[in-house]
Amino acid sequence: MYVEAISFGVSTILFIILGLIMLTGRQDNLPKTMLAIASLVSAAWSGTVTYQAVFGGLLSFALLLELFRSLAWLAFLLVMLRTAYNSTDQVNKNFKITFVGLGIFIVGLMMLALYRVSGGSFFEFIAGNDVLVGHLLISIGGIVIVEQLYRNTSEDQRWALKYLWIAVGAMFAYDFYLYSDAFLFQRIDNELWNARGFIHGMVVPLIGVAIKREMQWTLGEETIDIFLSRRIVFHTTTLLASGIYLIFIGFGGYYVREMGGGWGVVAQSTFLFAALLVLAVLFFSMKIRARIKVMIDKHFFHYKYDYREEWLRIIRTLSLQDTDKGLHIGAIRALAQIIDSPGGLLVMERDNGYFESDERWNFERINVREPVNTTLHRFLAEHQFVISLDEYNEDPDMYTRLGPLDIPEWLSSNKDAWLVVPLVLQEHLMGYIVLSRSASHERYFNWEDSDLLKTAGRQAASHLAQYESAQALVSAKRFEEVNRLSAFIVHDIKNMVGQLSMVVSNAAKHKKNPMFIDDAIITVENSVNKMNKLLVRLRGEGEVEKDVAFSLCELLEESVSACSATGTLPIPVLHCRAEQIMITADKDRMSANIAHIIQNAQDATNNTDSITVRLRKQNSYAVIEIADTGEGMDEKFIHDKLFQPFESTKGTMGIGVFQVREYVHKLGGQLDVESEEGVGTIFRLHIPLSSSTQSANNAHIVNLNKHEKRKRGE
Amino acid sequence: MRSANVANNLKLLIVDDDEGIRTQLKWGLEGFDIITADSRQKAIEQFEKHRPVVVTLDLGLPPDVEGTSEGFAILDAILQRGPDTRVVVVSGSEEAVNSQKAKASGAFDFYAKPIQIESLQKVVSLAYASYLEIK
Repeated sequence: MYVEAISFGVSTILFIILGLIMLTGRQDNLPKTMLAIASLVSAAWSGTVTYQAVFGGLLSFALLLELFRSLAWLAFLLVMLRTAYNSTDQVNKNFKITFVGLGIFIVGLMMLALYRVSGGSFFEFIAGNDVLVGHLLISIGGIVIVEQLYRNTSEDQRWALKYLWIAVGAMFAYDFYLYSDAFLFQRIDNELWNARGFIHGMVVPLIGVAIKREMQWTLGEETIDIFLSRRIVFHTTTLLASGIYLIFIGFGGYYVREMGGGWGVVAQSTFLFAALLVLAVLFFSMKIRARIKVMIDKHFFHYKYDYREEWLRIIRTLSLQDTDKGLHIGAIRALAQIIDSPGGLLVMERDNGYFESDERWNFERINVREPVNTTLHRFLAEHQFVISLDEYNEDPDMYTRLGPLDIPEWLSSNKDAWLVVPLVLQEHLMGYIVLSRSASHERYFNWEDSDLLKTAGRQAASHLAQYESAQALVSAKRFEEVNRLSAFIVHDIKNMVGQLSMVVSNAAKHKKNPMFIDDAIITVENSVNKMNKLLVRLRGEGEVEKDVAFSLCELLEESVSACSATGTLPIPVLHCRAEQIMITADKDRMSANIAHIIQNAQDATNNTDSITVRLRKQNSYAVIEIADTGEGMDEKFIHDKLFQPFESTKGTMGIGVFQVREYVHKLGGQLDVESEEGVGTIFRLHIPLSSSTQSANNAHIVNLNKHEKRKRGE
Repeated sequence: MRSANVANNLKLLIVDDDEGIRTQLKWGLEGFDIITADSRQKAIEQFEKHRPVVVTLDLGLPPDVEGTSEGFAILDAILQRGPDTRVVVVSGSEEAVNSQKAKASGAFDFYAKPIQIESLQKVVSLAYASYLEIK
């Protein structure tokens, strides 16, 4: 008795404090007032229970106050939930109906409780249980609303409001536990009851934390529609249904035990276990889930789908697949999940002019091979309709009035086949997906399903096409390699044929000349060497690059000298800031790359311009700068064309700069270009230094070649 | 070899990076004093030194062995120095673009490999005759 008095006494004091705090300050919003009322009613109820524990009596009053307290808390929660929605006539109407319904329910429960307390024996069979069920429903309702409130609370408000939801949720959860126990054992457990005061008192500080964190008294802004997703409705509905189911099972369990005689407890346990098992099976049943979803879609929402969520899911399913097989199955799954179809078959157009079966997912193996020009393919391509085979079987005119359509035998005879979704890309039918029957949508397939599937089909087609393009690009690159190799082989074979045929024709005249014999042997040896090189390349070993460490300054001297020797103007001038800059690379290839950029510079300049080649060290890189004062390039050309193979302004193959950059990247370096039209261009090659680099710091001009000297009149 | 029988003005410059080709052309092309080169630098040096009337020029030379840039650069350099020079471009590439480009750049003729000594001899003789006509 004293425990009960202390427990509820504590809760009384805490709720009075909370209520008074709520009554201080401005009373300009309804939720705050409602929380004050709920707190004070809770205090009144706890106080009554405390009084009853000490002095006895007031039982009916306590019972009524408890129900009134529940009404106050539920009203507060609903008022908070109301703030999450825009003020529309429909929303206002729905909330009014809910309030009135809740009020009638609780007032009815109060009357029933009074009747039972007064010893009313009407419907003796359920005497007492009806009030307990009422309490259980109130607790479930409270938990469901709290869950809704938590989900509708924005991230930035959760910091404060989560304490309020935890507090109120915990209060209702404890009540649920208390009354479930009471319902099962047909008596209220004293210990659980006595702890109730402490438990309710414990939640008050949590509400205090929420208030201290300056929680907002509204969940939504005036102009924002709070999003109530289908998923939330689905979860709430299943939670509510599960709670109600458990109440009835508990109710049933009690009577099984009461009427089971000696087997009572065994029968009750078996019954409860079986019931929980059924609940688990129902919970994991795709069919039940699908039916609940359809029920929700039909009765709660204007549109059947939450398009944002569906679209994100489609994209996620398609994007997760990274292999050929995975992507194709992913396309089937992405479409199937829209209408809860358990499987499907992908049929794709092939290069051989047929549509053939590709991948399947939970679908029987069928070898499809249909010509491109069947009525089915023409219909799908022209009308881009999702074909429901059931609709077609019932009323073919629905489809054939648009154009001829014959369903092939493999499809019409398949009992699992339900829908045919076209995969259209840029008005071209690249394939279609046959979906298996869906348990829930079978009798509920409408324009919304069709439109969403059609759009998702386009998206899937785009993903599949993108993948195929990537594959084609890889093949094209391989072909390009083969072509390059073939060109190289043909070139060398031509040289060898030329050499050897010349040896033969020359031998007719000079075979007795020992000098010719020597030359002929050298020529044959040369051909043998070429053939060996060819064999190496044909084996796929390629040319071995001879990477060696060398002085970059010396190499630049040679390159500049070679370019100067051609006599093309302007003559490049070389400045090496440090002679001993060493890099490790294939010397010939490096030299060719430098020569290529110098030649480009010469092409872009006229005779009066200048070309300067500079070498310097920057951190762990050698930096070669080839600068000209030529015509320069615009930004668009540099961005779009300069590094593209086969792009050139000079009428050549234009592969040079692309190759230079590729090689520099291969060395772990970088190629930068700086250019301004009418001012000139600077190519900067950053190449990692080799470990043996020793640089001299004194800058000096290493080379002024003879042409430059001549030009300067020296 | 045979240069003793050949007049100085029948000089022929063979530019090719393939040693076997250069060697056998020296034996096969009769009636010319043959000079050879295997790179752009050497080709220009030899041209300036000997001033040959006819040049056979391979397009694929180092460092751009698989391309044509070196060959066309030499063609430009030679015609710049001797506009009347008859340059026969000899290439393994059968791409029409190279043949057209060679002729547009001033080459006398385009000869597709593999080399048959008799036919090349005729082309070179024609080139020489063409040079004599305008002299």
